[in-house]
Amino acid sequence: MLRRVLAQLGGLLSTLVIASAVIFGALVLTPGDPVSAIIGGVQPTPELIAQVRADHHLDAPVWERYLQWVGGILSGDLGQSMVYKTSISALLAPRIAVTATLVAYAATIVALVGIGSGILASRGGPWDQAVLVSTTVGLAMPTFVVAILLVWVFARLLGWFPVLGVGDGGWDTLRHLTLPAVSLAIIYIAYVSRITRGSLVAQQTREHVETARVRGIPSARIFRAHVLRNASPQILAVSGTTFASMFATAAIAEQAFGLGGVGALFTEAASRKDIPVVQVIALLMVSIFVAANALVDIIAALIDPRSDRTHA
Amino acid sequence: MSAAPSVARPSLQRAWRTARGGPGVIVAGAALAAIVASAALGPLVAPYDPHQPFVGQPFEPASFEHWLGTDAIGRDVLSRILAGAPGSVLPPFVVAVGATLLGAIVGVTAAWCGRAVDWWLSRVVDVIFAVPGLVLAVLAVAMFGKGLVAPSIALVISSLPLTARLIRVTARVELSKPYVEALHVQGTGRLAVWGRHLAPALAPTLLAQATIGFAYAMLDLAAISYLGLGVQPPSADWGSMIADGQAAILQGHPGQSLAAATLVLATVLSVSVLGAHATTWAEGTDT
Repeated sequence: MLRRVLAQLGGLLSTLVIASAVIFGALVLTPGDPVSAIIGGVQPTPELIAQVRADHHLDAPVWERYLQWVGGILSGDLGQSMVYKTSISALLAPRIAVTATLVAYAATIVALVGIGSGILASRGGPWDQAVLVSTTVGLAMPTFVVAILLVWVFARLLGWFPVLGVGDGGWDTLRHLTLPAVSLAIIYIAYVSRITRGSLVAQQTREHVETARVRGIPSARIFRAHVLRNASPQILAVSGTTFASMFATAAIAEQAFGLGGVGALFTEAASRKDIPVVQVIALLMVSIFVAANALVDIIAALIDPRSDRTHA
Repeated sequence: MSAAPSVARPSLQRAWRTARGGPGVIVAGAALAAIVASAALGPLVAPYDPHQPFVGQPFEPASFEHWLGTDAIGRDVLSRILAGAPGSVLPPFVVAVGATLLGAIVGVTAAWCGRAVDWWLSRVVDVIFAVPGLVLAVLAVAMFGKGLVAPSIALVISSLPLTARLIRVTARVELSKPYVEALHVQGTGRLAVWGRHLAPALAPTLLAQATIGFAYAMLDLAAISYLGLGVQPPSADWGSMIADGQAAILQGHPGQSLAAATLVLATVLSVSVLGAHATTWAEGTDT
C-alpha cells in the first residue's frame, strides 16, 4: 500500500513538473512584447522599459525565470497581475471560495443523482429505458445550454431563483448557486449514471453473484457486498475525473450566472492577455486534476486490495 | 462459381439493412443533412444581411418576414444562424478529422516501432491528459489571441494522445490474433498484413473516435465562443449567439439563445447517433 502511494506521488510530481514547464514555456513563446502589455497605454520611455524588464526579470534566461516562478509559487508568492496590478493571491483568494463552493455543490448533485439513477437503471425495466433516454439527451447538454434553459424556465418564467451573483452567505448563497450548480452538473450526471449502470450490470452477471443468488442470499445483501463493492472502484474513478474536470468547466457556469470565480478570472485574463494570471490558474487547474486522479487511484486500492497487487 | 452471388447477396442485404437503421437513424440523418446543407449554402440563402440592424423591430416574434424573429437590435435571427453555420460546424469537423488521423498515425507508429516509442507515448499521454481540453484551449487564446484557430489546434493536441493510445491497443490486440501468426507463417509480409488486415480492423475504432471527437470539439468550441474568446462580433457563430441572446432571456425573449442552442444540440445528437450506428455497421462488415 505504501509503495503504491509513493509511486502515485512520484508520478504526480513528475507530471506536475512537466506540465508547469510546458505552461510556463508556452507563454514565454507568446507572440507580442510583454513589456507593452505591462505598460499599457503609457508612452514608453527607454528608462520605463528597462525598469519593467528588471521588475519582471524579463532579461534572465527562460529556465532561470521558470525556477524563480516555481520557487515563488512554492513559497506562496504567485506573482503580480499585469492588468490589475495587484498580487495574484489577493485576486484568487475570494474567487477560489466561490468556485470551490460551486464545484462542491455540483459534485454533490452528480454523486447523488448520477450514481442513484445508475443504480436504478441497473435493475432493468422501464426505469432503465427512462434513464437511457434521459442520459442520451443529458450527454449532449453542455453547461451553457442548460444554463440558458434554467435561466429561462426557473428565473424568468417561474421566478424561483435569482440569476446573478453569489448572494450574501449561508442559505442565500446556496439559493444563488443552485442554478449554476445544476447547469454544471447535468452532463456529468449523465456520464456518471451511464458508467454506474454499466459496471453494475457487468458485476450482476458474474458467476459468484449467480451462485449467491441460487443459495438464497437476500438480494439487498448480494447487491451491497458483491455487486456494488466490486463495481465501486470504476464508479469512483469516473466520479473523481468528473469532479476534477468540473473545475475547468465551472468557467462556463460562472460566465452564465455572473459569478466571480476562478474560471471567470481565467477567461478574463486570457482575453486581456494577463499572462501571469493565466499561468497560475492553468497550473492550479492541472494540479487539481492530477491530484484528484491520484487520490481516486489510492482510494480504489483501499477498496479493492487486488488492484494494489496487480499494479505494484 | 455459381455459389458466389447467393452468398454475397444476403450479406449485402444485411449490410444495407443495418446501414439504413431504425427511425432514430433516419431522423438523425435528415437533421444532419439539413445542418450540413445550411452550413454549405446558409450564408447564400440567408434572407437578410446578418449584420444589418433594424431590418425589423427589436425582439419581433417569429413571423413570415422573420422566421425566427429578430434580436435586440432588430437583426434577423435566421440570417444570423445561417451565416454562423459554417463557423459552427466546420471547425469541429476539422478538429475531429485532424485528431483522428494524427492519432491513428501516432498510434500505428507506436505499435510498429514497439517499446521505446510506446514508453514515450505513454509519458506524453499522461501529461496531456492532465490538462483538460478547455484549459488548453483558453491557454491557446491567451497565447495567440481570440478566434477559433488557436483553440481548434489546442483541441487537436488534447484529444490526439487518447486516440493514439486507443489505436495502439486495438492494433496490438488485432496483431496478437492467431490469423496474423498464420499469415506470417505463410510468408505474408508485415506491410501487407498491416495494410490489408490491420487497417480494416481499426476502422470501427477510428470511426467511433472521430464522431465522439466531433461532438466534444463542437461543445468545446461553442463554449469558447460562448465565453467570448472565439468568434468576435459582429460575426457570430452559434456559441456566441447563445451568449449574445442571454441578456434578453430575462426580458422574456429567449428566441435567439434557444434557436442557437437547439442547433448545437441537434448537431451533436445527430452526429452521435449516426456515429454509433456507423460504428456497429463497420464492426459487422470488417471481416
